[in-house]
Amino acid sequence: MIAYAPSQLDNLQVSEAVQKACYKKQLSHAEQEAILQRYASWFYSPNFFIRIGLFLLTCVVLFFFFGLLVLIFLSVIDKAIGGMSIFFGLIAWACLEFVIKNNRHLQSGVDDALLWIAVALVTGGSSYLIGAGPIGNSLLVFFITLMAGVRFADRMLSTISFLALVAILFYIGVKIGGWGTLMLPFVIMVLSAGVYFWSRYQLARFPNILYQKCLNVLCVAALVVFYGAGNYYIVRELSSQLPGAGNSSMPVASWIWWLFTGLIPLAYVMRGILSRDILLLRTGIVLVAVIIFTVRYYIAFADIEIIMAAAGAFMLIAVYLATRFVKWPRRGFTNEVDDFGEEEKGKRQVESLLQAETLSAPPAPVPGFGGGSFGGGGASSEF
Amino acid sequence: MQPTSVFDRLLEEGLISPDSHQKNVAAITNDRVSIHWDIKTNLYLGVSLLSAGLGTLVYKNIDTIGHQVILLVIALISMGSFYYCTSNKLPFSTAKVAAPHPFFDYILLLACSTFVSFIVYLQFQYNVFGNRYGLATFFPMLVLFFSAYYFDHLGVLSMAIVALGAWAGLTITPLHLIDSNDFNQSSLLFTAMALGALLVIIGWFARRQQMKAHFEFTYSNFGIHLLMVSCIAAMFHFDAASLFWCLVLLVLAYLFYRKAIHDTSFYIVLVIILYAYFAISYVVVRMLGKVSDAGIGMVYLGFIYFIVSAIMMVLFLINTNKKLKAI
Repeated sequence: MIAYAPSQLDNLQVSEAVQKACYKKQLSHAEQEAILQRYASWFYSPNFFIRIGLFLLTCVVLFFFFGLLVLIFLSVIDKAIGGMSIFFGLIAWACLEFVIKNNRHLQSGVDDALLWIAVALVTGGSSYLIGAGPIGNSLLVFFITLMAGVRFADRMLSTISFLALVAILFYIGVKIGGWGTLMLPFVIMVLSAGVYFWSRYQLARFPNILYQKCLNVLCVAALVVFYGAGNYYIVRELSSQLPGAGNSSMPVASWIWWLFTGLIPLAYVMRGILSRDILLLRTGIVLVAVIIFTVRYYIAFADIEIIMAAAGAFMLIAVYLATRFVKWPRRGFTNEVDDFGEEEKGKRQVESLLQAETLSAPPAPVPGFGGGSFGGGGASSEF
Repeated sequence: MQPTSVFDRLLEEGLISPDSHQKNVAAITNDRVSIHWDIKTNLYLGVSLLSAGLGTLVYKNIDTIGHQVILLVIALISMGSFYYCTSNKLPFSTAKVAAPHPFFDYILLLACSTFVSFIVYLQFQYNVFGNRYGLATFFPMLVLFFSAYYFDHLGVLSMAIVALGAWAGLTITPLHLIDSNDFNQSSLLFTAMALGALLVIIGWFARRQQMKAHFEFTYSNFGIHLLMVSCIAAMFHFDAASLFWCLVLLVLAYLFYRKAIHDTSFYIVLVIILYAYFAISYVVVRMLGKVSDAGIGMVYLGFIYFIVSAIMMVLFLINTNKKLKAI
C-alpha cells in the first residue's frame, strides 16, 4: 500500500523521538549515538530549504519537458492534449516510484513535485477526455487523490480527497433538489464528523508517522468543514444561489444556523483546553474570528476599526490570562519552547522579518535621491 | 508505534538504561502541550489589531479630537511602553539577552512603532524638520537601531534596517523590494548596491567582533537580497553590459555561497543558488533570442537548456545538501 518501507519509517520515528529526548537531556549522548546507529533510516530527506529548491527545480524540469512534448505535437494539440497529459502524468508517476525505490527520497522536494504534477496531469487529462460533469469530476479527483494520498502519505492530497468527497455529496444533493438540498448541511456535517472520529480512531492505533501527519491534517479539515456546513453565511449564501431557491430560503429555521455559527467554535476551544488537544484549540480560536466576520456581514454592529481595536484588546487580555493559566503545571499546558534549537531560531528570524514587513512605516521614496526631494512619508500603516 | 513503546523497545534491546527508560516514559506521559508560539502569534496579532484599529479610529475622528491631543496620546503610549521596557530589561550584554517576560518584546514593538508614527505625524502635520526630509527618517532610524541593540530585539533591528533603506531612498521591506523600487535609475541602483554591501559587512563585523552575533542573519539577509536584486536589475538596465553584471553577480554569489557553506546556512545557500540560476538563464535566453534566423530551432534549444540545466541544478543542490550535512 504505502510506497515507503514500513521498517524504515519505524526507524525514522525512533530516531526522531531519540533526538528530541536527547535535546531535552533525557538521554545520554552515548545512548543517542548507539540508537541512531542501530536505527539509521535510509531515507533521503534534505533540509527544508533544500527541499524548496529541489521542488522548484523539479517543477522547471517537468514544465519544460511537457512544453517540449506540446511543441512537437503542436499541429494536433487539440486532439492530443488529453492523452498527452495522462501519458506525461503517468511518466511522472513512474519517475516518482523510481526515485522513492531507487534513490530513497522521502519528502525531498523532488518527490513532492513529481507527485503533485503527476496527480494534476492524470486528473486533468482524464477529466478532459471524459468530459465529465461536476459529479464525475469530483469522483475522479476523489479516487485519484485517495489512491495517491494513501500510497505516498501526502497531507495535501488526503485533504483534497476529503474535500472531493464533500463535493460529491454536495453535487448529488443539488441534483436531487428539494429535500436533497435541505438535508445537505446535515449530511455534510455527519460526513465531517465521521471523518473526524475515524481519523481520531486511526490515530489512536498509532500508524506510521507519515500517516499520523496526514490524519492530523484530516482532523483539522474535518473540523473546519463541519463548522462551514453549519455556518449561517455559508448555508444562506449557498442555498440562495441554488436553482429554484428564493432569495431568503434557508433550510429549517435560521436560528439553528446562528446557533451553530456561534457555538461550534466555542465548543472546539473548550474541548481543546479540557482534553489538551492543540489542534482542536487552534482550529477553535481561528473559527472564533470567523464568528465575528459572519455576524458583521449581516449586522453592522460596529465600525470595522472598533472591532479591530476591541478584538486586539481582547486577544491581549486572553493571552495575559493564558500566560497565568499555564503556570499551573497540572493544567497540562506550558509556555516553554518545544522545538529543537535550529527550528526555534528559524521561527524567530521569520518572525522578525514579518514584523519589519508589517510594522515599518512605509516612507514612499520619491525619485531623485540626493536632490533632497523625497517626501517623508505620509501616514504610516498605523496612523 | 506508540510513543512510549519506542522506549520500551529500546530498553528491551539494551540500548538505553532502565533509568533513561523511566525518565523518558515519564516525560511522555506527563508531556505538557507547548503554546509558546500560540501566545507569541496572538500577542503579535493583538498588538497589530489594537494599534491599527485605534489608528483608524483616530484618523476618522481627527476633526473632533484635534492634532495636539492625538500627538499627546501617541507620545504617552510610546513613552509609557519605553518606560516599561527600560525598567524591566535585563542588563545589557554584547551576547544574546533573553526577554524578561513574554509580553516584553511586544511592548517594545508597540513603543517603537508608535515612536515612528509620532515622528511621521509631527513632520506631516507641523513640518518640524522643514525641508530636511532626510532628518525626518534619520532620527527615527537612530532610535530604532539604539533600541534594537539596547533591548536586544530582532524585529526592531529589521525595522531599523528598513528605516536605513528609506533614508537612502529605497523601500526594502521584504515583500516590496522588487516592486516598490524604480531600478531604472542608475543612481538608485548604485545606492542599493552600496547599502547591500554595507549591510553584509556590518553583519560580518557583528559576528567577528561578537557584538550581538545573532543579529548577523538579519543584516546579511537584507544585504544579500539587496545586492543580488540590484545586480539583476543592473543586468536589465545596462543592457549592453549585462554579461558584466552577470559576472559580478556570480562572483558575489560564489563568495556568499562559500560563506553559507561555512556557516551551514541552508537558507542562504538556496537563495544564492536561485539568484545565480536566474541570472545565468537570463543571459542564455537572451543569447538564444539574438540568433534571429534560426526560428523555432532556438525555442527547442531553449527548452532543452532549461531541462538539462535544471536537472544539473537538482544534482548540485543534492550534493550541496550532503556537503552541509557532513559539517
